[in-house]
Amino acid sequence: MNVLFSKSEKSYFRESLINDDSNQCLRLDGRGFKQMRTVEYSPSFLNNCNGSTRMVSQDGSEVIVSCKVQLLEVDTKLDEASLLNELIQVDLSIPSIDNGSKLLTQMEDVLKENIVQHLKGTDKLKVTQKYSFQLFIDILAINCNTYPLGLISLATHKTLKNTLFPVLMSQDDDLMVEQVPVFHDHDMKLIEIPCSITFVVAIVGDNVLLVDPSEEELQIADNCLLLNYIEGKKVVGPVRTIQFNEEYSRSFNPKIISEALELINYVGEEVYTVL
Amino acid sequence: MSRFEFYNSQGLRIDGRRNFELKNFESSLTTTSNFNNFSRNSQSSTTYLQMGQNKILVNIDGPKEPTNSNKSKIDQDKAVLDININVTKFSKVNRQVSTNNNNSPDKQTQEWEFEIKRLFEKIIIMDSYPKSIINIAVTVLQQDGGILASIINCVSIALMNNSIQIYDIVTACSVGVVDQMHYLLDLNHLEEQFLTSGTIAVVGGSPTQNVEDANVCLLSFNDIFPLDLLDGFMMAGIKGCCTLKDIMVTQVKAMNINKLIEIQ
Repeated sequence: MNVLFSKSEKSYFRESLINDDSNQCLRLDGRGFKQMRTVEYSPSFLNNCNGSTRMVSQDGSEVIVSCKVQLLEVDTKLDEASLLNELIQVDLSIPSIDNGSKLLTQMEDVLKENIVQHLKGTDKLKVTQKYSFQLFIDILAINCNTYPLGLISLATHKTLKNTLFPVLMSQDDDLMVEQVPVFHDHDMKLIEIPCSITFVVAIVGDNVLLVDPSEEELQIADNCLLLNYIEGKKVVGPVRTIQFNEEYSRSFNPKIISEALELINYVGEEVYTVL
Repeated sequence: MSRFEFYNSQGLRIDGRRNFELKNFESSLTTTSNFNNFSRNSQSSTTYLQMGQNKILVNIDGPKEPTNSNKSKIDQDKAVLDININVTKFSKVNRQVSTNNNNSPDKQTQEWEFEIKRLFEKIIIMDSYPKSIINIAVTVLQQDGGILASIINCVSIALMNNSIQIYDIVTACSVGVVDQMHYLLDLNHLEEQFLTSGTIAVVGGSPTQNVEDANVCLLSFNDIFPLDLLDGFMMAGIKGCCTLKDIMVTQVKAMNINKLIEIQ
């Protein structure tokens, strides 16, 4: 990440955010504190894939998510958690960050957890007793100007909402009879895979919370929270923290977490109604 | 003899086109253009090209001062071109898993990178950007035959959109030969798989399709090619490229008028 502000500029920016009592102050790009960046998206634009989304944010960050479905013969000895781990494959690539970097692995982990967590106890991916659908979620972040996890998770959520699965034509009980599942040639059906949305919240000072922070805001934030929201259940775990700068990073007041939870409950609901 | 009839007696191809008919060509300047007023780095906009089922994104960064990592490449007199092609895993019908774990591009992609770099080093007026670097990042989202031609076209459009000085527009298209007599323009993946084919890139050639002005700047064949067919092949390719140039020029003009309206 490149240097954007000088030291004095950073300090001025930070002070003006903290000392604003009325919370009426606007952010650097003219948003309110609770406002997300504008996004425009085009769904299902790749016809080679089962589901795809292209999402562009106001700052020019662009994310492309594709979801491909494959059939997998399930090893019946596996328990549910490790099976789901195998069924959901998330692959994230960002050209400016080299593969295998810790930041990428962390983001992949968050995204995978978002899906796997809500699939436990359901058999939505199950095709027959022996076979299961395997989801390959490939994410490509082009031109990203800030920590892109918020945008990526929105796009992933949107992709899983419009992913189409093939319709099974043969019988679904194949424990006794050895048979390979046969699918309909054209017909596809929608299976709603639940997926929570991750929101990035930057904490500045004791009581300023910024939703969907930009790069400049990340540079002056004390700390950042990653919160997951899913429809119906409101904010769900796990809550994580992440730091992006060395100058201002410090611990924060635990009370602010509950404030952040309320904030995301409010923002998340709004986002869901829009999506 | 393959089991497909690539060119039937009525003069139609598998996908219903005539032999000299190009694929649907649609380019758009996207993303940041709408938000230009807010964007910090407004010079980086993405160009999206849809040529039939080929979908390509090109993002040009620069010309700019080289960052620390590539400062050694700097040239005092002219710009340095850096091309990066990323063929995504989901671009084909079946998902490809790369065999090497550090995700370096495969041989084919590296070859394309080299060819395109050599080509555009002569097209861009490098002398006007001394001590700077131009990064071109190509992302192939979906491929359906003739991908090298599509990449060249898209980079060409992106250069115009980013107002980088070029001598002329480069256009490229792929040509295949059926039954040693019919030439097919702009192949799809089935045709590319079974036919003798090649890619031709042309610079120059006036919009009124004056074929004599056109200069071939890239020619690549995928397999053995009968020499006596070369003449017809070149003519078909050059005609295709000239037509493409017309389309590209009109589309770029339309795009930039839209952009102007948006800004105002």
